[in-house]
Amino acid sequence: MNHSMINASAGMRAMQQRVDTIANNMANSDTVGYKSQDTAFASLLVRNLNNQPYAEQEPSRITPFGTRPGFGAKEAVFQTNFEQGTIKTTDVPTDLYLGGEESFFRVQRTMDSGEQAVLFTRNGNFKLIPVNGQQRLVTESGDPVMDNSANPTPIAIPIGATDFKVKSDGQITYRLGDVEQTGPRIGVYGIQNPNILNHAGENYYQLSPGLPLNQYAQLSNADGTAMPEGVAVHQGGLEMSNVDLRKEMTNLIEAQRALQFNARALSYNDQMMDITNRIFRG
Amino acid sequence: MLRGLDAAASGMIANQARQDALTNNLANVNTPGYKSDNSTFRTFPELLLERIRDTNSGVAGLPAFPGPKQTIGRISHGVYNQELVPNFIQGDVTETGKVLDVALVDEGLPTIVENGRQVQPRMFFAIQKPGENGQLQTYYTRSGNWSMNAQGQLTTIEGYPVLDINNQPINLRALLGNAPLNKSTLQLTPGGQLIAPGNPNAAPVQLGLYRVNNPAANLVKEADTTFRYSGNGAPTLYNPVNDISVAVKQGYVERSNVDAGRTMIDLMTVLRSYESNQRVLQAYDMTLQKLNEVGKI
Repeated sequence: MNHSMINASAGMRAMQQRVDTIANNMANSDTVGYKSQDTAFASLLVRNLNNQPYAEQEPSRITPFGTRPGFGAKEAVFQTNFEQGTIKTTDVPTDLYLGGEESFFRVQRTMDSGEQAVLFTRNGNFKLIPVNGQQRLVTESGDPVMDNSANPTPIAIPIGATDFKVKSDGQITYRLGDVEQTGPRIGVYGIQNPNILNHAGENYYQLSPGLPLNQYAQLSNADGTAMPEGVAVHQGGLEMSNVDLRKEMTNLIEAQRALQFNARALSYNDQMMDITNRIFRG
Repeated sequence: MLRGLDAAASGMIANQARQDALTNNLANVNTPGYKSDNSTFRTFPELLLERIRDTNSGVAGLPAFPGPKQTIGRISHGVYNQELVPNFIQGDVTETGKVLDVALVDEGLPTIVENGRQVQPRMFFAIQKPGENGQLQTYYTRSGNWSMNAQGQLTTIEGYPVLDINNQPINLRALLGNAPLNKSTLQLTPGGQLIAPGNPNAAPVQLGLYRVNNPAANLVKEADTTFRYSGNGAPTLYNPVNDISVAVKQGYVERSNVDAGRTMIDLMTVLRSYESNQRVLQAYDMTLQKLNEVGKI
């Protein structure tokens, strides 16, 4: 395979990955709490070639001695856009959404290995399900939502509780019989730099391995403290996906055309190789 | 042997090298801060052809002695791809709205004359990455698609630290304090100063911006959309008084400056040129074939 074919195929692969990312965004344009992703490119390896070893024999050059052909492009990183999505009012008491782009609900999931994984989500499409004689607040995937204590425990209220309410600081209140009761407080965590979050699937995020939780995720509403400015838990609505379909369509067209350009370049190279093969006709 | 055979072959090789550069440009049509390469052809050094005059010895009845040399003329033996000249023209600047996307706009920098050539100076960001010997070196880039890493440093998409005016990595966490990272807590002035309005105790950080007067002659293209400075001395640090026409824009990214349409046309031209060289090669081949037939019985 010659050099330009490698370039064209590297370019095609990078563009294909971009199309994949855009397709994923478009598929999730109606997913609650989904954050759109984008790919960023960087140029690949460059090598230095000398046509001949004597710099003084090429007096009219513009550039430093040697030629430096590159090897195409690669997609360097997936970037997640944590911008706030639009809010859809549902009036369902257990539908919550968070104000403040860097805030997350904390969720616990028991992994297959038995390990308790700490996950974060913006998807506030919660439900109350009966577990062990109590009603537990769980996510769409059935994982318990954690409270704001130092050793977080799953949030639960007694069975038979009515009038489930969540205040903006995460405090849950409910009515048992005729008496208003104060329940646990939903834990809201602030992550200063959301770039360190990895996608864990099902709209969950996880801290990159090796980063201590207490250092990178700060509890925003410990007991007795107020939420930081702009951060609040809201009830009766859902944060929809922040995918901007117009932007995605534009990007898709662009990526597709770039893919075509590279495919065309590959085809030109094929023709060149054909011409090379036809030098000798037997 | 026929001299033109090698010339035709060299034409094919040179065209292949040009095709390599063009496909590389095309592969980087979406790479932020990429600068397209133009390939330039140069003929091989010319040779002086001379013939030894062997017909004129001057004396009748005696064998002919070689006479003085006679100049036939100059001949060139083909072409090669001499250099790839990066085109440093500004790429399109597009809005992304992301807090750590940064674009350099320097179209207004006045041209200067260097070694009798008019050149356009360009501005670059300074980053740190391991060089050939494994030690950290300063590289220059126009790619402003940045992020913040787990240590709180401002880095390029490849994870290389972006440098400040003192050639030190920039610690965004120290700048931000406990405030989250977004457009209202971290602002970038057009002069390249990072400020955190919510954390008045933190001193602003000036990005390391450098002006390279003749980028084509002094910068060597490296991987990851970076350049290495190979000229004498060092690039000039941004001067807010003199370089008023330079602006750093937050929330924007400078895109690749590859012109896809022109590159496609160039690809077609190169293909045809390659083909005509092949035809010439074939013509020579046929001539040689005829030569072989001469001696046939």
